Amino acid sequence: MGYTKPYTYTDNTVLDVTNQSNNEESLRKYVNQEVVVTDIPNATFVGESIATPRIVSTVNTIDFVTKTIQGHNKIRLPQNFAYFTSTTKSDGQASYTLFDYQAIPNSGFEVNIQTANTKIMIVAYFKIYSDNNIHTPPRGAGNGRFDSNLVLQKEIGGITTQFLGTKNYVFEQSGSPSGSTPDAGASDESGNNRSIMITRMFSLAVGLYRFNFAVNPRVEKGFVNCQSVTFETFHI
Amino acid sequence: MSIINNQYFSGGNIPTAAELNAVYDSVAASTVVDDNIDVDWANRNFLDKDTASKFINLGYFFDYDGTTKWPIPNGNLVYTTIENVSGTKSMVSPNYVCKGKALVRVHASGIIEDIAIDASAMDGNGTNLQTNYNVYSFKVKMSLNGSGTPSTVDICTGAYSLTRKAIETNQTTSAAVRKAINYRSFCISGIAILDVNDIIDTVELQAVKGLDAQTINIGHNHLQVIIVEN
Repeated sequence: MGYTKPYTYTDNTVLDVTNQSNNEESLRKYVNQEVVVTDIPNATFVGESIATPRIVSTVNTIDFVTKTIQGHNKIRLPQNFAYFTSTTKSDGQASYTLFDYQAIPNSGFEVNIQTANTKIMIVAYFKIYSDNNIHTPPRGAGNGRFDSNLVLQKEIGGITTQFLGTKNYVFEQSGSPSGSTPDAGASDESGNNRSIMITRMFSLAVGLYRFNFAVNPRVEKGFVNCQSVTFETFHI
Repeated sequence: MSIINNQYFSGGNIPTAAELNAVYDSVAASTVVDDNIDVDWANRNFLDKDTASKFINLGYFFDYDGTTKWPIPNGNLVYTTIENVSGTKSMVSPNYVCKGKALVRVHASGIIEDIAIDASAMDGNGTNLQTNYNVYSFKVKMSLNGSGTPSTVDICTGAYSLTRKAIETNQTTSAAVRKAINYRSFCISGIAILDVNDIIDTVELQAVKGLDAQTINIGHNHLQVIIVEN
């Protein structure tokens, strides 16, 4: 306790206005502004003194004082794959100019930004593979090296934007000669089984953003598992 | 400082010294305890969210989102900072002075584009003497200037093989095994703890290849640095 009163009253002494003022002023300062480390013994407070995180389990969100964490962890469920398919493109399945980004389950969150220039951090891990049997003769352009690509995208105000700098690939197969780019290189398992890891930070303006990951498929049957994804919004 | 005692006087009373001293002595004899605060007293609204120097979490990031490839240069196993566009290195410059024992958390990711394996060296003969033939690696390096004494910290590293061959194997002939794995993602992360007044000058994403004869091209890449002052 760092407080010592400047003046001690004694009986039968005429009260001096300065002494009285000094005592009251010192008390005011101490109570309002001068709580220091040594004033507070160890183990004084209970945890609830500091705002506890608010847990919104329905959307896997935990709101701490300094940041908000949203995320999924499916690593324990390796069999929990979702499908993606290029058959939605009709006869344009192999096209390099026709896109159909299909959202990956469990990979998206709403991020509510209330202060300009708030930073968010995204860490995501995917297991993704294609399971096509190459048709003989190949169907369509059928060069056996089709790449499906996975990107991060955001939506705000109805406008969806892809971050092409997050583009990652999984291939139908590889090793067959073709003019297709990119080239998976190593054949078989290395081409059509990929672990994809993405980290990304953004500085966002005020608004309600919806982030998720999506696949533009160029194979008839693909599988993807968002094994782990975390969105951190740093408030302070 | 718990509940402060008070004195109540009626009109015409002459306060004694003990009564006048009581309030002040009560403060002096007490201390801050749990009674003085309420549940959730420290919440986000009371903290400054606009002044970066007061933040608990400070974020810095670099993104190269383009399509220009950066071949890892020859360099005899010396790490080089990635630089897809000349003059723009994959790095951030916080120039940040740590207030307390700050924790620095880094993430980096990106994509390996095409790899050309040297026809003579291939990916090694499967012995540990040629392990380096089949390796490339990434590192996040932090440069500090604590009290004017420059130093560096390697926060994290991560190594990858060019092909899907294991490090040591007797497999030396299969072309399928020895083909490079192109367009794969890479990702590394790590933490470091700094001292009061350490100055974080720069944090860089670097790469190296185990054998100069190999050609390894880096595509888009990203670096995130979070300084946690808490």
